[in-house]
Amino acid sequence: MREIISVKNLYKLYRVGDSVVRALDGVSFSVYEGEFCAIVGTSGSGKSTLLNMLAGLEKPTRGEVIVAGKHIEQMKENELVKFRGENVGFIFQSFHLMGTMNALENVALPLTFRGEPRKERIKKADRMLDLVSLEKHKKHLPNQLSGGQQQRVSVARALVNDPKIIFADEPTGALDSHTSQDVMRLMQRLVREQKRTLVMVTHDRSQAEYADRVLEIIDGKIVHITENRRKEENERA
Amino acid sequence: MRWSDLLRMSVSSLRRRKLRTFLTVLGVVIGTASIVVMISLGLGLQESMYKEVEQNGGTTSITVTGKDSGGMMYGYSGMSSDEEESQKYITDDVIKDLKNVAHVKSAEPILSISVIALKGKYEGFIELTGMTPEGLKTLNLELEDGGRLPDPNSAQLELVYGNTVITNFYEKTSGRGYWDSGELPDIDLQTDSVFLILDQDGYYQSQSAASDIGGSAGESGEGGTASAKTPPKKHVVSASGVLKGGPDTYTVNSYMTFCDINKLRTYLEKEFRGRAIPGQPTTKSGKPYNKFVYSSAKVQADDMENVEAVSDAIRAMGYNVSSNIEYIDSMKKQFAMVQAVLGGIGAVSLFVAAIGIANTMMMSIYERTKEIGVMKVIGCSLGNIRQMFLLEAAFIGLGGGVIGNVLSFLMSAAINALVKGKEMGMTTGQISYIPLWLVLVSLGFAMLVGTAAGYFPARRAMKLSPLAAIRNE
Repeated sequence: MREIISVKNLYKLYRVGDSVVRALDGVSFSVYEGEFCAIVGTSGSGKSTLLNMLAGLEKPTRGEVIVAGKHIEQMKENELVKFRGENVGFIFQSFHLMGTMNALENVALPLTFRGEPRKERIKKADRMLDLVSLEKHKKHLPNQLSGGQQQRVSVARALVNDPKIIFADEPTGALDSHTSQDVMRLMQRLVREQKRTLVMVTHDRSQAEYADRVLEIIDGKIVHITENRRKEENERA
Repeated sequence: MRWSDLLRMSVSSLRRRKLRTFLTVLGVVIGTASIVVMISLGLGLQESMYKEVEQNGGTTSITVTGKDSGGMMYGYSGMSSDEEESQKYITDDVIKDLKNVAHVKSAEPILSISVIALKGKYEGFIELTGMTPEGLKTLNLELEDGGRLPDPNSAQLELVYGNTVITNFYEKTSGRGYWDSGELPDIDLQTDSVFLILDQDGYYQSQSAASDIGGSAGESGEGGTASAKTPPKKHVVSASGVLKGGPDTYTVNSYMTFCDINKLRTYLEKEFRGRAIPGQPTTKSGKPYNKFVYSSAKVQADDMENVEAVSDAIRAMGYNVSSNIEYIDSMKKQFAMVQAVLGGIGAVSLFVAAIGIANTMMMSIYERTKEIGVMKVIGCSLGNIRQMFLLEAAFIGLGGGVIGNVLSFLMSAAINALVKGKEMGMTTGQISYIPLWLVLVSLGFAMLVGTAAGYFPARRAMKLSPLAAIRNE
């Protein structure tokens, strides 16, 4: 399996008053193509910081982050925006859909930023919404949709620009347990069907069950790596 | 991002906050309207001033007179022989020279002479001004219906009377005219032909000779010995037109009577054959000068800006020059100041509006911090984000500019209507005047102000960290 994300000796230090907080304290790991990888940790463990760095939203203090063969930590903001637009999809905890746009337009938004003609991007967005089984809600505004539906729109938006990697930041944090399950299953299915790489950050161990591999992070250090898929495969065998 | 998408997003985010957008736009509306209306007032004043100058001989015309042509100096200065050499008379050759001066559009001679007109029991003094057909055209004379300019090829001398010339006629017997009796003489200058007497001296001599029959003998002795016993020839002339306006409407030309210059010249030369024509310079011995001398020349510069240069050039040739340029110059300066003051007052309100725009945009950015972050995370480039906010600000400016201009036109119309109601026809111009360029400039300016006001907020939006979007509160 090909490495798509590779993190080497990543440090992130924050200065809080006089003391220095180590949010990330020498993290090294790899994520492989077509893998569903969960990063689990309590709040303050550094998991969100790690995700931010993988996505290039924060600069590391030291260390390397190589995503799809590119050194993220050395990129300028403009390059990062372009890189994200081409290679990365994002799923947020509180969905972050544009309130003035209907589901279809929201899904098409990343393509809009890339300057695709309206017809084409609407066609693609339409297909994506079918994929997340929101056929009946294409013309609805976000406030006319339930939380689960909004997160599905968000998933469709993350997939629409055909990214290699999808980052999800507590994707079920704002959902009840039932819809959480739905969304998790959906993501799991999509990753497997479309051979995409998904990196998810969560504090909920039960959500991590859906992942192929679980990285447990405590105080800025990866303390445990669980291989779920292998287990599954073993069980099947 | 495509422009159409940028536009759509900007407009939709403006529409999302209708009240705030409306209030911000309102600020720009007031700012734009105050600038436009203020400047329009200044322009209206300027326009009516120019119109006045136009009637006073125009902004481009220069009057050239010969040096010392008044002849008053002769009596006082003993060294007349030297002066004769230095005399600068306006002759045909000089007119030709004037035409060759740079920036001169036309140079036309003018011949003025005062004559006496007779009609029935009325007698009147007329200041007759002979001009070439081209020169007459440049005066932009407004004639009563049916009138035309004098035909240079007509058999008779044809006149164009000024509208107040009629008040110069008075009854021969009583000496009472319009100003005494308040009654206009019973003459229709347009249709009636009058007798013109070119030789005033001869006329008075013959008059006094006639009256001497029953009058004092002492004076008649002298009068009788004078050469002109026979009254001078009466020329029958008719009008080709009368200037527009009643006896109480004053313009620069209202007291004038115009005719064709060459016709007048032939009449004069015939009348005064062998003698000096009044107004013509004479040699020391009282003989007429060998060339015909015009009273003055009217030179038109091709542009108002060149009047100064042309004046200087002609002055250097040794002639007296008078034009409206000093007047115009001081007027220009005054108006520039008035414009600046009025425009400045308006600009202050637009400046306040600009602060309003900046504030609104800033608020909007704080509100949308998350949204901006999300856009950045899902692939909106920094430039696009800046453009989006600049566009929003520009829209506020443009919208305010458009509505402000509409408002300005309404206000301008209202001002003009009010003023028109008050003063009756004294100034023909409008007091508030909005030319097309003012509309365009104010629109552009409003948009520019909007964009400038939006610049720093837009930069701020561009520099916002995308992390803000990820952070969950």
